[in-house]
Amino acid sequence: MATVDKVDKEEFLLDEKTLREIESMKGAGQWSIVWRRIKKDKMGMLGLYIVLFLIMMALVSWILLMVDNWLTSANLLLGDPNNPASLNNLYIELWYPGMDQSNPIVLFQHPRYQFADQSTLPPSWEHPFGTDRLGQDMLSRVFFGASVSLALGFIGQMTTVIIGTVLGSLAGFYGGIIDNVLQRVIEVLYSMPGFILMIFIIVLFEDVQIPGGKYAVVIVFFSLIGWGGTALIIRSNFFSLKEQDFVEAERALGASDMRIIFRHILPNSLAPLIIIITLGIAGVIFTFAALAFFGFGDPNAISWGDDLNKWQNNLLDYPWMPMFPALFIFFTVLGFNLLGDSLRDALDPRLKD
Amino acid sequence: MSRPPEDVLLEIKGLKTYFFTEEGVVKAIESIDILVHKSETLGLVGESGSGKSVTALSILGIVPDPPGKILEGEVIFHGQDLRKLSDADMRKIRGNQIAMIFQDPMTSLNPVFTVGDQISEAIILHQKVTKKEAREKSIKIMSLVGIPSADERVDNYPFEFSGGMRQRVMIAMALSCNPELLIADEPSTSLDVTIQAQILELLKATSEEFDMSIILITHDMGVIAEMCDRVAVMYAGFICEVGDIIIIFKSPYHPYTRGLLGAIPRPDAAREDLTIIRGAIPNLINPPSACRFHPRCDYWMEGLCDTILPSIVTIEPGHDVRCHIYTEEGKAWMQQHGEKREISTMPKKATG
Repeated sequence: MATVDKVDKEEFLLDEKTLREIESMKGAGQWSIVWRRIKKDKMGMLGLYIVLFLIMMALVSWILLMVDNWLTSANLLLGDPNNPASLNNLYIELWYPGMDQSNPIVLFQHPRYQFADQSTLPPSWEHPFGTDRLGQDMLSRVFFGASVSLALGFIGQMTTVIIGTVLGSLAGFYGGIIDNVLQRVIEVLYSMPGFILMIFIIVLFEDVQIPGGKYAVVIVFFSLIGWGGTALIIRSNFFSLKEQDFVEAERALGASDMRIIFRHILPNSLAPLIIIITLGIAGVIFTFAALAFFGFGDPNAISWGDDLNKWQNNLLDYPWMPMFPALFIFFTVLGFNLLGDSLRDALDPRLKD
Repeated sequence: MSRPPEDVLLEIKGLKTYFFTEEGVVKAIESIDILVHKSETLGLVGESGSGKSVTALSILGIVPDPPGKILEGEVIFHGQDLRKLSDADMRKIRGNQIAMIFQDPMTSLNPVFTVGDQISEAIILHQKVTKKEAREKSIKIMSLVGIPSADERVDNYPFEFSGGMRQRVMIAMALSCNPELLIADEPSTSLDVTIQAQILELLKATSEEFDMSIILITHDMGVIAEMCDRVAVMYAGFICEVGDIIIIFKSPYHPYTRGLLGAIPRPDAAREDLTIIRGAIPNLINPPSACRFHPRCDYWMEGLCDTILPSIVTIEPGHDVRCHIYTEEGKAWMQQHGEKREISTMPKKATG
């Protein structure tokens, strides 16, 4: 701010530390306070690193798969596009000085590429996570599975939160009948065992072909039955926010209801929304992995949950096959939960540091 | 001091606003008639809970519903009844032709947006301008209302402003569309005294500059004396007395107005106890019958004030009183009972 700048620093004989403090106070908005609090929280930072690592992994693997699909469909590389096992044009090689250049170590193979005569190999330098019974490299499977698993979590949680936020906002703002109806609907949704309902719906829609594969159906129904919690939190948030004077002031300026709800009150609910989303993603990933584990996933998809389901019977004889996908599900859930908990503390206005 | 009818900007006729709460029906406004002329400042004065703010919200049609509801009355602005307008048409008037500033600048600004965003939004809502133009206009209007280095402050959040500066931001928002009528709901109450004076001075200056009418809601007779051309005294949902500021202060006709003026401490008066008005403002769920002031009134005519609502008596053009002392019924009662009810022309204190 101008006032701070105009202070003659020499005259007041401020030491370096105080000056730095003044400097840091300048941008002491809510978000810089939140960031400072998270940085102090070791577990939160661990969660953040895990989440960032997984997001990077998912993004890179997704881009690689997209490039591969495009190259294949454009016939730029050899390979039979009708046979996924032959799409071996995608790999990341590991090079080091002095190595035999004609025989590089392939770090990531196409997740569907099946190594002939290399099935059920335990972890080795060539296949750090081993291979599965089809001769597919487990490291590649896990690496490329990240994009599907995380995308399911993000998309599933975002659609759920969007539905919940819109309905919760309207109910909280208008109250009365709208609120009453919404609450009864949520009670009905809560009274049904969601997981069994999901399985029922998946079985019901087994033969329905829609773009995006089986998981599109799952996400749609997951969002349709899962928005209750978000709606209740946003609704109660709106109940207190709508009584604030700035809502009345905004109305006196001639703003419409929708503008007040979504442009003025909702941004004030950002903190709870961030917590809901972060903590929720872990739950959604877990739910989808569990669905896949019980055999209600998409056997053609490359995802941790589906791989886990495929090899769950081999836990004793070939433990690496189900173990690595399971470990990554574990770390994802752990990372998001740690980050979510840390965010919840950091965004709590009652805590002052 | 009546002015020609074409000078009337806003006319409220028989406004009635109730709140339907679980405890019962709060009869907040029973019958309000107000005239606001062009470029005049009308003071609306009364105790807490007398319905001043509800009147303001009723004019703009933003009484919280539920539980509030405007039951009767007309709010005529520029010859058209605002109550008959559609929601969309009404929104075009709010903030554009009639703006409002609120009592507490601490909570009336949205904490998550910069003040520049909020002033710009008021402009964008009513004028076809780009964001950049709106921002420039915001800076201009912020310096107009006396916010120093407005071009830097425009990107600050409300919490970075002091109370007085926030009220200036609120005034800037209200002025941003050059309204013809500004409703100021206790604009200086939550500020300390020196800032109060500045804010009132600012309102006065801008009202002259923008040629704008103001309805100034306050419970501070000092503020009224300083700012207003005319004053309407409210009690429990009725207007007791309306008149020119000089008339009201010099010779109040209504016992309540007299009580209010008598309760002002005066530095020039001898050390005497302040006159107070007995009792407290009534519960508006079960208000006193007829004239709602009668239980606290020194001039209560038993059997009349509590049974028949006094009609409005025009003492002289522009000076209306709602009290039985001046009605035909009242005069008949006095004759019948042989008692005299008369208000000395000056409040007791003023003579001291």
